[in-house]
Amino acid sequence: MDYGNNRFPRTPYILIAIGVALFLTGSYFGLFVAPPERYMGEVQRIMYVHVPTAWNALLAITFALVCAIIFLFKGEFKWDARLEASIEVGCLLAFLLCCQGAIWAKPTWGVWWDWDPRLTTTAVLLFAFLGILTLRKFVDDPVKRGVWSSVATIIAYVDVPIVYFSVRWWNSLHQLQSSPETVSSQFYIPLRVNAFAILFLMTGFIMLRARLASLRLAQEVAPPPMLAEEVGETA
Amino acid sequence: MSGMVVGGWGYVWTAYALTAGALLIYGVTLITRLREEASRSKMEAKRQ
Amino acid sequence: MSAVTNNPTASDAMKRRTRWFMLGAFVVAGIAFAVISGSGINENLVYYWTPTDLHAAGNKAYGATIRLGGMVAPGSIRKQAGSGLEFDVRDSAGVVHVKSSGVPPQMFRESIGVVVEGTMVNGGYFKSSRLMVSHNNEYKAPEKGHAVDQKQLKKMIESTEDL
Repeated sequence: MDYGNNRFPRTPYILIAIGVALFLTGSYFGLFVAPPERYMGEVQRIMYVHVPTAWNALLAITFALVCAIIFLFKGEFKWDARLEASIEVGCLLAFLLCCQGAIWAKPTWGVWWDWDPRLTTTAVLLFAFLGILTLRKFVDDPVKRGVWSSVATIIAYVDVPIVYFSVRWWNSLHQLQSSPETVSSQFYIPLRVNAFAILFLMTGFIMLRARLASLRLAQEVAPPPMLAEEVGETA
Repeated sequence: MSGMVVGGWGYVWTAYALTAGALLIYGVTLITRLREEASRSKMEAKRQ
Repeated sequence: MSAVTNNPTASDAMKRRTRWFMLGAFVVAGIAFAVISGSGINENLVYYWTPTDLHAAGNKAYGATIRLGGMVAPGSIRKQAGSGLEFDVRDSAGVVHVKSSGVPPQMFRESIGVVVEGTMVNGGYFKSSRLMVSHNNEYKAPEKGHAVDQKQLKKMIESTEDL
C-alpha cells in the first residue's frame, strides 16, 4: 500500500548512513584540522555547519517548489507527499540555520539577533513554510490540501531569491556571500564535506518523510478504490 | 579589545551539538513515526 | 484514476484546473517579486543609514532612534569611563562622531564595519547603546609567520587592554 519511493526501500537509510559518516569526517576536519580564522579565531568553525545548512535549506525548499509544480501539472499524489516531506525538512534546516547563526553572531557581531534584511527574510521564509505545514493539518480533503499547499509553496518561494539577494539589495549586518576567493583554501575541505553530509542526510530524511506522507495519503485516498475517481470530480 | 575573538569554543561546541542533536532527534522520531504508520496501515489492509 | 496502483492520480478534469492554479500562483509570485525587487520598496527599507545619509537627513536624524553603519575610522577610537567608547564612523563621503556606552564585541577594531543603534544628540554626535560589528565576507587563515600564537595573542591583548 505504501507507494512512492518504495522500489528501493533501503536507499534512504544508506543515504543517511553516508551522511552521518561525512558529517563526522567534515566536522573532525572543521573542529580539529582547519586553522582558526585570523580575526574570528575558533568561532569561525561554526561556518562549517552554518553554510552547509543554509545551502541545503534553500535546496530543500527549491525541491518543494519542483514538487508543487509537478503535482499541479500531473496530479500525482506522490508529489504531494514529497512536497510535504521537503517542506518539513526544509523548515528543520531553516530553524537550525537561525539558531547556528545566532550562536555565531553573539561572539562576532556582538548580538544574538537583529532585524537586518538577511535575518528578517530568512525568518519570513521559515514562518511562511511552517504556515504551509500548519495549513495542511487543517485541510481534510487531500485534493484541496495538495492544490492549496502547492499554490502557497509557489508564492512563498518568492522569498528564496529575496533571501539570497537581501545582502546585495539592502544595507545589512550580515556580510555578502563568500566566494572561493574570499575563503582560504584550508577551509574548503570541512565546508564541502559537510555540505555533502547535510545533502545526504536531507535527501534520506525527505525520502523517509515522503514515505510516511504516502502511507497517510494511502489511507485517505486509496480505500475504497472508487474514491479516487470521485475525488477528481469534487475538487 | 584586540580585534580578534579569543576563545569561544563554547559557542562552537554548542552550534555543532545543536546541529547534530536536532538532526539525530529528527531522524529517530521520523523512523519511529514511519514504523508506527507502516504497522497501522498493514493492520488496516488486513482488516479489509 | 488508479487508486489501487501505488500512485493515485487526479482526474484529467482536475488536472486542467490545477494547471490554471499553477499559472495563477506564478503570476502572483512574479508580481510580488517584481514589486519587491524593482520598485521603491528598496529605497524605503533601510536597515542602517550611512554617515552620508545621516548628514543628508539633517534635523530628521535628531531624536529618532536610527541605526548608523559604516567603517570605524583609523586612529579615532578613544576609551571612556566604564565600557564607554568614542570613535568616528565613516563612509566614502562622511564622518559621524559616535559615543557608545555598550560593551564592544571582541572583533571591534579600527577599519572594521560597525552598525550602531541610537540617535543624533545636541552637540553633533551620535549617542548609542548598542554596538554591533559587521565583518566582511573574507575568511582567511592566519598568514604564514603570523600564525595565531597564543603567547603573542596574550601580549597583544594585554597591550590593548587600556584602549
